[in-house]
Amino acid sequence: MIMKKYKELVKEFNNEYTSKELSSAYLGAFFYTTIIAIPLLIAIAQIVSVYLYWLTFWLVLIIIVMFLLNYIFHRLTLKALKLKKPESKVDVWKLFIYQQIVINIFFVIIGLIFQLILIPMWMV
Amino acid sequence: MKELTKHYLPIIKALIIPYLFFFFVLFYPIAYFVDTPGGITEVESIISVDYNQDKEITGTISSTYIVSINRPTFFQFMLSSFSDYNYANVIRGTYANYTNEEINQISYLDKETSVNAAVIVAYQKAQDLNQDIIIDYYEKVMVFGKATYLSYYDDIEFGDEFLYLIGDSDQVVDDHTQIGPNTQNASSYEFFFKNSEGETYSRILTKDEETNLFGITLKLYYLVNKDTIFPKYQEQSSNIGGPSGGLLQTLAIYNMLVEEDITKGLKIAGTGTINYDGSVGYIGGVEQKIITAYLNKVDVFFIPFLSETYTYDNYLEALRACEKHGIDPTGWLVPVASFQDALDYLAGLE
Repeated sequence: MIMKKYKELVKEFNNEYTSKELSSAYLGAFFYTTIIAIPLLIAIAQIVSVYLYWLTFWLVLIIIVMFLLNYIFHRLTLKALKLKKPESKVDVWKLFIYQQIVINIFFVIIGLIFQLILIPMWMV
Repeated sequence: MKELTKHYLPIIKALIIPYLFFFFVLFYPIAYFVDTPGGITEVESIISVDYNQDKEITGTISSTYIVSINRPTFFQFMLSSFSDYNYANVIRGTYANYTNEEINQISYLDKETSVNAAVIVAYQKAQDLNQDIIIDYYEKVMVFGKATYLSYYDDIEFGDEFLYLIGDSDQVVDDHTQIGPNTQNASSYEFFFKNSEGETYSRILTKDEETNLFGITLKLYYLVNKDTIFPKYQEQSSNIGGPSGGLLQTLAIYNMLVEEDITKGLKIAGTGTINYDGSVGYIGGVEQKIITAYLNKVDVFFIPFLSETYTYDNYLEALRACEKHGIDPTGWLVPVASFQDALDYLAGLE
């Protein structure tokens, strides 16, 4: 059921926007998300270096920040698409929610790999 | 992209200066150091001995590390001030002249030579109980310090081996303690070194006019002969430097060699360098190490105690740290002056 809805949304979306419009929106969103992400992630890395003994807590925070950046990226993409075609009726945000869930699951998996495998290997 | 830029231009204009300022705070280093609590590392995860493989070790022996940030950024420095557990101060002494990379080099040299000392002391002690154990070692004089006025500063690396120098009357001087008496007549002498890649090189070092010294610190180390040692041991690469794990490394290696399990199911940690005669030496960052031990809920924490009258004795510092942070030191903080003291304490436990 969910897959069917998703496929319908993708179809609707593809009919509405050209790949050039989409890539332009993605590029803009990626650029501005990166501008936000760079100082944010450097700051978190420095927080971790000073308070290393709360490493697990920071790892959870990093995952939450990655969720937030993922959200910002999709919000900016949506904004760019809306600015390109204000009259569009396609529910792009619903489509993006599916994408965000998949990407967030990926972040959680990466976080668990760090917590369970990489960090114990490095902290010797 | 154009649409986004156009739409958000007022916000971008308003935030550009705070944004750049934040970058400055994130990247600008200051001449301080910050010590913060770190963690404990089981020695077994770094060093393993091919012996007594079936022996069941019920407890753990861990060295304690702290995080030492040399020349932190403004942001790190500000962050460190939010917790009583952290300690920040101006970099002083010889370290003030070293780059962060050089401080790391010294730290890893310390770590490497400390493991060798731990192996020597543990194997020698275990030999008393088991004659099959063989320990053989050799001497190596290495570069341990460099003054800013040292000639060819960048060519000579920390850890390079000093071989000999051509002293007065063209005499070959291979004893580093005899450099002074054999370099009286001139200001420049040719020193021979071997680098980490095994290449021999020489440099003519000139004495500094003000101090009348060459500006190089050489230190004698005893290194394990890995060909003849029995049983063999393996050392894993580690991200943690410094010599402060020496005592605990010695205890863990000894425990791998003997039949008895000296851990008695306890979570044992501690700090202190180990000397070749089995005595322990002082370490830095006591306060942060005590906090680390406390946060990790260790059962026993060994700490060097060499003088009741020296204010900065590690044990006395540890007691002050406990008082400052409201930690009860009873029952787990154990002062020791030697490896034997630590063994005796563990032997006395039920």
